[in-house]
Amino acid sequence: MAVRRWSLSANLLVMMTVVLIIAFAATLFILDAIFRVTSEAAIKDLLEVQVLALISVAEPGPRGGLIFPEQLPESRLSSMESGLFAEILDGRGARIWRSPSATGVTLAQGLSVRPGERLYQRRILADGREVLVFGMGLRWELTSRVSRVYQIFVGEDLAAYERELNRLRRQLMGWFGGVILSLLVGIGLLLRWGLAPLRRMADEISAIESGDRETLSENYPRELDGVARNMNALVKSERQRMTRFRTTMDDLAHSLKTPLAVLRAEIGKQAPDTKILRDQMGRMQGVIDYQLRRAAAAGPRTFAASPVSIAPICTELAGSLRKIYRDKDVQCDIRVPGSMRYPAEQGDLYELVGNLLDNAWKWCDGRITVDASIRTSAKKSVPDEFVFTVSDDGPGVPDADSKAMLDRGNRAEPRGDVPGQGIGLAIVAEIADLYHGSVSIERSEMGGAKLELRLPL
Amino acid sequence: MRVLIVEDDEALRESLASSLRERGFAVDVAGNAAEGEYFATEFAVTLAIIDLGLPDRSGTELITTLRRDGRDFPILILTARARWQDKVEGLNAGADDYVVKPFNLDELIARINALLRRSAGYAQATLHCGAVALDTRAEEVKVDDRTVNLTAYEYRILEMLMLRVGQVITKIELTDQLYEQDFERDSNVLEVLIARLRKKLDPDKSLHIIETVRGRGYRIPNREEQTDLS
Repeated sequence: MAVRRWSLSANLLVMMTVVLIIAFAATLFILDAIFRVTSEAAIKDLLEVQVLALISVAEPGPRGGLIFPEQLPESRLSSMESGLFAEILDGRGARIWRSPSATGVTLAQGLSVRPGERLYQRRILADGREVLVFGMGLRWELTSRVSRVYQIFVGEDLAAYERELNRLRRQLMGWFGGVILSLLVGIGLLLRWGLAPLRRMADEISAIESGDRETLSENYPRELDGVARNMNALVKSERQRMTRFRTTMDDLAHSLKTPLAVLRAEIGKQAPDTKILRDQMGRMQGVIDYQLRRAAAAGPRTFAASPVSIAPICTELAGSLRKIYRDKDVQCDIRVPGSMRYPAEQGDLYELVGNLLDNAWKWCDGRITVDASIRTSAKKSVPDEFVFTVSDDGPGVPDADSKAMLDRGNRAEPRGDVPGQGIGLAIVAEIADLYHGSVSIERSEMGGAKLELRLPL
Repeated sequence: MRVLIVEDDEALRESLASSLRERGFAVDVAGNAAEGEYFATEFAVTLAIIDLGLPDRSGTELITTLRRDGRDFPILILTARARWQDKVEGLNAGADDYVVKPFNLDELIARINALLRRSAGYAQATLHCGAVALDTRAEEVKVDDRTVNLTAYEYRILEMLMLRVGQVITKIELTDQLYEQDFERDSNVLEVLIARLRKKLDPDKSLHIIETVRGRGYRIPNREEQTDLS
């Protein structure tokens, strides 16, 4: 099943949208709650003022009634459908007065407040209108012995308030929507601009894939510079590897076909010469061995490699060689500092050290010394070198031979008449070359050979 | 000398087995690690040749298992991988030597002989015992500088006795190390071989190189000990 791939910017935009919507929804909710609380408090205050104003203009009338002037303190109480109602009950709950605006409305049905008490209630009237009711109980002392109890209720229709609230909500939504939209457009543009180097890199990579480009360009922002450089190194090493692979193949083909031709010709004879057959097979084996080991070398790592500790490799290989050459009593001094490391593929280091030590073990009389150091260069342009030397007390190597042993160039066949002989050092030279290093043979202080491997740091 | 070959390629395994049999070795063959482990556990193996690339388990693992179980016979690795890292891994697991494919048969035999000699505690390639000198590298036997022409079986018997000079080797052990099956056991083949060997080494019966220890087996007495005593 094909996995749908999101683009990085689409992903970011979707996430931003979700975050912004959640943030603005929370803001909206809080603003709404604050508005609700403050405006309800305002309405309550207003209702309380209305009650007090009504009391201030009321006169006690006959039979426990109250007389109000023609002109009520609040004109809304006088006009129908104003949304402000007033109703006054006596102590037993019987209505004794209601404002003209409250005609047909039973505001205080089922409510009662005792003198000195106050009451706020949001209630729904019989006709479905929602009102906020404020009630106040009052004992009116007419004389020192006669007093009357009144319950005064004032209600405000909340429809207007709700309308206002809805209007505010719509307005807020509109504003926030606009802000979110413009923010997203801004972020989108920023992403487009910010991710442009990535897009450019992708384009360049496809250009490399299609062969239209050799490497990535160099003017990438700092964050991508490392990626671009590593990518270039990877492309370069891949190309080198391909070349090496092709050269190996060509060499193999070339150097195998010749002995193969000899073999065929010899087998075609009435009495094939087994010596010729054996020699040619030996030659082919040597070629295969050398070329395969050459091709197996990994070479320098493209990405900053973690350095490999040298001393344990030396110790391990010396242990193995002691086993292999058990009949030979060899004193091998490994004087490699434990801190010595080199950033190479571990297998390559094994191959370098293994072949050098094997060579020394083969030729020494009984003593081998192994040293490693860092040679710092005075010149800035010349990099520091990792220097690894293996010295023995054997017969040493004549100058002419030493050149031949390390000379490889494009040579497909190893030197030496015996298969396997001399391949080791040619491999060392080959791997050293891969790492842009070198090998040389000198005379050791012990009189034997001293092989020095130098690898740039 | 009983050699166990653990190698999954049948052609190589059989060719190697027949070559070793020609050289007088008793050979057990196994095509995978499990079979190899069985043979190594059930039979008195003198030396094992183990391929590193086995189908069920890596040769390295097999070697580790054998060593952990206390099998201390010499192990020779057969490998197509010539990289040092692979060699070190095999040797670290407990192998004693390695041979890279494709190998020269003579070289392999030389390595086997060297391993057998080393595991018996001899550092030199030539074993000496009185007048007899056995060159394990060339598989050549000399008595007082006279080269003695031995068959493969005769050579192996003499090698076994010389590697364990002073010790009695039972007939059963000798037969076991020479033949893979039991059917030879009751026959007098061993007596005949020993008689022929004695005749070749010591035609005028003056040296008494191989002793018969009645009811137990054969041995080559330690000549130095004898000189000390006399």
